[in-house]
Amino acid sequence: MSVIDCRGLACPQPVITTKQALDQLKEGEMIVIVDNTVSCNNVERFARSQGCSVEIKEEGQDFHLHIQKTKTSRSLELSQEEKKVQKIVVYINSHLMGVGEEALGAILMRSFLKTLLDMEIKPSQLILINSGVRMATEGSEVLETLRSLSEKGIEILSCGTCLDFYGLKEKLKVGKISNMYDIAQSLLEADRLIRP
Amino acid sequence: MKCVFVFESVHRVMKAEKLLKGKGVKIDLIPVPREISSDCGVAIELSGDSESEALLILKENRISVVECYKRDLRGRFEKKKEIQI
Repeated sequence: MSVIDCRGLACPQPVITTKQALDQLKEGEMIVIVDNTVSCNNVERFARSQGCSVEIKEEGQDFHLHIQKTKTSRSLELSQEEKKVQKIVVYINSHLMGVGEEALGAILMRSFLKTLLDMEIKPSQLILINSGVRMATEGSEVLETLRSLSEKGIEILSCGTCLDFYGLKEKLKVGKISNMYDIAQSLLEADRLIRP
Repeated sequence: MKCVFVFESVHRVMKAEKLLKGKGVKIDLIPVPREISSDCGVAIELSGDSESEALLILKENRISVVECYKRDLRGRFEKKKEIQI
């Protein structure tokens, strides 16, 4: 049986570590050790959300969470996996996020893209329109972030007309050039459309 | 090892970014992770070896860094006890 020691780890690390261990575990029990109530509650909630049963034993200062994974918890997990297959499209029509000061908008957009990297839910596509295409071209501050998103399997599409307009066609560094047919189709087919 | 500077406001972050980039210090803006509470949602990340140089530039320009963190390879943040210049 695996014992995972999460003592001394800052939130949300215990949950992340538990998730990784739980993904590895086919069936059976594992023990997660944490040293504070917040982590204990978070790990418990996470395990229950995955359909596992949880028993908590206090051992001195620590909490030992006995997590039981059964075949049913696995099937529940699968149905959650299926939910994730939903097509989520992020539609970015500017290099700025929100309306207001340009300098702030640029910072917010960088921050948004970086945060996407850490999110468990991943969009399937990122569509760049108008000045949004600048972000995928040479000299962009978010190039590395977009590259990492692309490595994680997120398709990055830049509007060809827009690249052409800004004279950036030769400078595209990440993702593919796309056209309005593909873009319109993606937007129409999306289960969820996110416009930051 | 990466080093993360947390500031009091986004204005300070923007000022600091401009200043440090102008001096050729390689930095990156990152969203402040959930585990660090801060009034400002953006922080500056730089490689550990340019930390003292960056702090000196900021000090000379009277931009105060509120907190300083070390980020290990696993992405975990550890607060530095004191900001040393």
